[in-house]
Amino acid sequence: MSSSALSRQDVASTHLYRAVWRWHFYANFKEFTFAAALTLASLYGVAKSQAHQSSIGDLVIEHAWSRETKATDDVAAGFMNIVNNGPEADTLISVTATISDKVQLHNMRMNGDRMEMFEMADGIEIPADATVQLKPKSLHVMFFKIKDHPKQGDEFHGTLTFKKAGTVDVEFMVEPPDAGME
Amino acid sequence: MRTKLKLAIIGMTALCAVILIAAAQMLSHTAQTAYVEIGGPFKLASSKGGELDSTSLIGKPYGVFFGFTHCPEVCPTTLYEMTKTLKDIGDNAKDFRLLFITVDPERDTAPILKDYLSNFDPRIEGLTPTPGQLPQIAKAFHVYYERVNASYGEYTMNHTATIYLMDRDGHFKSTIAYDESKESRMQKIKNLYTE
Repeated sequence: MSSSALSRQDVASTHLYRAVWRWHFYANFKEFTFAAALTLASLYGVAKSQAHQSSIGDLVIEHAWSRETKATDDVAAGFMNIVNNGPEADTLISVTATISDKVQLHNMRMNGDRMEMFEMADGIEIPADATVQLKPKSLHVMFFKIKDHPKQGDEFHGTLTFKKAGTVDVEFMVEPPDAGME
Repeated sequence: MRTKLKLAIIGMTALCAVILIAAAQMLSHTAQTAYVEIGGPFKLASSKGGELDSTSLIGKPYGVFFGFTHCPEVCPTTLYEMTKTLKDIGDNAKDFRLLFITVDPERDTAPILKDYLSNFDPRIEGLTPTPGQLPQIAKAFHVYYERVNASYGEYTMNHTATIYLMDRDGHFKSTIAYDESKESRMQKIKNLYTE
C-alpha cells in the first residue's frame, strides 16, 4: 500500500518534472523569439536612422525634419543637427527644398517678452569638432511661399550648400504639426 | 550767523520736503496710469465674420495675444498650448475668448485668420486691425511690433509674445508669458472667474 502510494507520488513528480521542463523550454523559446524580434527591430531602427542622415566631407547631417502644414499655410520651418567631425569650421550658406523656392536661414531669440527673428544673411557657422542644432525656438530653415503640403510621415527633398564642403542632398521628414512644441 | 544758519537749515528742509512730495506724487501718478492704461476699447474685423466690438465682451473675461500667421514658432506654439489649456479647463471657461490680433494686417486678412485658426480651440478668435488701427491697439496694450525685411522681398515680424488677461469688466488682470507652464496658465484663467 505504501509502495503503491510512493509510486503514485513518483508518477506525479515525473509528470510535474516533465511539465516544468516543457514550460521551461517553451518559455525559453518565447524569450528567444522576443530577443530575436528586439534585435531585428533595433537593427531596422539603426538602419532607418542611418538612412535618414547624409554626409559630405567631415560633415554629417542628422534628422532633417519639418512640421505638417495645412493647405492654407504659407510658411514652414526646417530643423536638423549638423555635426562637423573635421578640424576646420565650415558655413552653411544656402538651402533648397522642393516645397519652396524661397528658402532662408533664420534665427529666433526671446529678448525679454519680445520674440525677435532675423535672417542669417552670412550663413550659419559650423565650428570644428562641434554640432550645431537647428531646432525650435532657435536657428532654423525658413520656407516661404510653400507650394506643397506633405503629410506627417512623408518626406521631401532638399539640398544644403556649405562654403567649403559643397552641396549635399537631404530628405526632410514630415512630423506632426505640434512636434517639438513642448 | 546763527539765524542765517537756522534759516538755511529751514530752507533746505522745506526744499527737501517739496522734492519728496513731488516725487511721491509722480510715483503714485505713474502707478495709477500704468494700471489703467493696459487695454482699451476696440472694434476690429473678426475671423468669425463682421467686427468684434470690445463692449460686447463686458461680463466675459478674455485674453489678448499679438502675432501673425507667417510666424514659425512663437505664435503656433502659444496657440497649441492655449488650445490644450482651454480643453483641460473645459466648460469652466465656457465664455472665455482668446483674441489673436495680427501685427501683419497686410497678409493676415480676417478670412486668412479663420483658416489659420481652424485647427485650434474655437474660443480663439482672430482680429485684423486696419493699418491705421494697428498702432492704436498696440499702444493700448503696450505691445511692440516691428517689420523685419528678409531676402526675396519677404519679411517677418518681431513682436511681444505675452498674453494679456482681462477680467469681466475689461480691466487688465495678469499676463501669461511665453514658455509658462500649463498649470500656471490654467490657474491664471481660472482666477479670472473666481476673483
